[in-house]
Amino acid sequence: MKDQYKTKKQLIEKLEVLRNQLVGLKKAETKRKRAEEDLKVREDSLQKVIEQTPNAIWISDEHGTVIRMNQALRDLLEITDGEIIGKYNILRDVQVIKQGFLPLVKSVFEEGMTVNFVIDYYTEKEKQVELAHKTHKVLQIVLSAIKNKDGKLVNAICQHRDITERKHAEEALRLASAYNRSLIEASLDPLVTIGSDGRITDVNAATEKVTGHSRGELIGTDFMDYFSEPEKAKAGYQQVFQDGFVQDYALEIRRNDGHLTPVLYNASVYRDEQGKAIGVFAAARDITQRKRAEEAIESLARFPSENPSPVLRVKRDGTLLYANGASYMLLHDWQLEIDKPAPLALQEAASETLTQQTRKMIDTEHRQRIISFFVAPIVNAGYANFYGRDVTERRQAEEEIRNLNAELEKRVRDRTAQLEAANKELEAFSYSVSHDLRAPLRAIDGFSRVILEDYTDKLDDEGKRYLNIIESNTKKMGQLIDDLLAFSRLGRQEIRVSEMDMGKLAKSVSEELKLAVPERKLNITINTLIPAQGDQAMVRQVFVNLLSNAVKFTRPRDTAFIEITGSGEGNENVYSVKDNGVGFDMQYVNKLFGVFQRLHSSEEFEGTGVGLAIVQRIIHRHGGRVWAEGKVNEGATFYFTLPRERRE
Amino acid sequence: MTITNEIEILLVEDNPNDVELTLRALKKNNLTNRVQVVKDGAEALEYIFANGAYAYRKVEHHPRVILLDLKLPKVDGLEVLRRIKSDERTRVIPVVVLTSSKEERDLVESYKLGANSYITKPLDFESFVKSVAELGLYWLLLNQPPR
Repeated sequence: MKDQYKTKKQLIEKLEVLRNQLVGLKKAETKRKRAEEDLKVREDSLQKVIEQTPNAIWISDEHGTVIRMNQALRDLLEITDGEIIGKYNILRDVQVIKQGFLPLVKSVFEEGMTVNFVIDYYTEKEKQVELAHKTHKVLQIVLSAIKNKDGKLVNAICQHRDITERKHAEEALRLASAYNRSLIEASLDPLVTIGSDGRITDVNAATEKVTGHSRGELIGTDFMDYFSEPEKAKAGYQQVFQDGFVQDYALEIRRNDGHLTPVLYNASVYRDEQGKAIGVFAAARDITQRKRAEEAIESLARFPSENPSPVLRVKRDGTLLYANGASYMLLHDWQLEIDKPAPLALQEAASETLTQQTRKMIDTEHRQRIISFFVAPIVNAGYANFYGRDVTERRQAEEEIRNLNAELEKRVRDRTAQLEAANKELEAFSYSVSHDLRAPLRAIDGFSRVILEDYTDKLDDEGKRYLNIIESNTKKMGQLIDDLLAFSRLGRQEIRVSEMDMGKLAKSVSEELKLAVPERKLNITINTLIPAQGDQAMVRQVFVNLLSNAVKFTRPRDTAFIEITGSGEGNENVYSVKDNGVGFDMQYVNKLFGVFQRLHSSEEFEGTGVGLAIVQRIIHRHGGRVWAEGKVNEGATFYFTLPRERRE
Repeated sequence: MTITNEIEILLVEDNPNDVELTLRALKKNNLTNRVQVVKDGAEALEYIFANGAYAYRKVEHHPRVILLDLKLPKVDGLEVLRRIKSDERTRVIPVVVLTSSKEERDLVESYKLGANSYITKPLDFESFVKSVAELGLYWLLLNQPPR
């Protein structure tokens, strides 16, 4: 400084310079101040702009910490500067991190990018430092870097737009759409939407299945390409556009493997808000099953229609509902007409069977032919089915059998009457014989005796002998009459069946016979005899007659050996009486059992020739057989059988 | 034929031989003076019911016993029996059916109609006499008829 004060002039000059400098400085100062003021004005106005812009904005420093925000943001998120300024940093925002926007945000601060994303601020229990911690908001965010002249990031500005409402609306729409979609997908029927150009715009899973193509393959292609008759398919949707709908439009969907599915389409147009038709919604109904059922019904329907016998159906009110071809042919006299009253006989049968809920048979006559109908009421349906059969031949055969039977019965009756008459006659005859034949004998015998008693002194011995011959012959005649009557009575007498101890029976008879001929030496062996069923009195008579014969025809023997046996053989019992008597010649065996047939003279062996005939008759009446074996002088064996189970 | 004495036996028999033999048998038993013989069923009824030729009789004068043949002219023995047994006045008269028949139905029918006994006329004269005699003795001597 010492050097600066050398001259006044120099000093003045210096002073001048200094003054000038001072002025310059003052100017500069003013300029600076003005500049500063200008800046401040600019800053204030910027601040004002930011503050007043309707966009919700914050501004951060280069590290992301918010240094300023505007009223719009405060209003939007109901926040204050104190809560946010210097505290909130987007890089540490929990939702930003959670929802994966951190890399985006970083790119702004690190690379100076501008990013745009939508973040959903929902209120969580645990409060974190985040922008919208008081309210649930969905915000569209635009975050950009603010750089200086050197391109260095100095600030970041973040604009927020509230799209919460829009988001909700979108969500509702999305849900509604998903619901519709699920409805469409849930349908078992193939559903498809078609644009006005005939291209497929949407399909459901059922369509994928029936066509064999995926949804992706189908959408955008021509609807008509998937049918056996494309032109018909095209005509179909064109008709929908024209008329607004089609119903039960029959088509066949062709699957990618060639398989055809018969379907019926029901389709209608859908329109935009202006009412312009923008597409067709078409639903196909797979009628494979129905077709099959129809075919089955059709084939089943051939049973009645091809049936060569009449098949008809009649309604409860008597209307004819159905008649097959055979009905018209076989029932030609009936003039059948469908939906007209059925013939009266059928009407009555239908009504009766439906009312009583029972089946029945009816016969109708048609010029020489007889048709028998089985009537089956179908109560629920209110009609009766008639199944006819031509039974003319059978009825004729039945009639013939009836006639034959009637004739046979009449013949039997006639014959029975004749037999009864003959029987009565025979009875009367034998009755007469029994009375009238005996009376003269009684007189002959009686008066012979009177002569012998009253005139004995007037007769010589020869006279008395003659009278005795007369007497013995009358006795014999009496015996003959008795035997004959007994024999004839046998034919009429009722058989009283009981269990018979044959051994006991034979024994009692043989005891009696022994007593009758005490002078004879009889050796009668009775083996164990199988019991039988029959009329005890009659069978006893058989033993009496056979044993009497045996005793009689063994008379020439010193000792008579008689053996009785009886055992079961097959379904009959066989009994035999064997003796060591005079026997007989087998060539006369057939005469043995005839009435009054005798193989010996009465001088040799007395008898009337009725005994064996009676044996035969009794055994025959019991259903048994008799026969004999013998040899002259070597004895005889008589056999008889009795059935095991007696016929009633 | 005694008409003054009370008749002890009425013999209804159409066969004269049988009548004679019967009477002979009765005679042997000293019963002949008490026998009235009629030859057919009609006459038997007239006698029993006291009408026709026998109108002078009184029904109440019963024979002690009636020997009745079954096979008779005009009215048969079973009918006679039926009439006797269905009339209050005569049903008490003992009736012995005396016949040559051995038919069971005759026997059954006779008892059904109320016959008191049934005797088959034996062919053997001796046994015939014996049975007739026994009958006579039985009914006339041993039995006290109801009054």
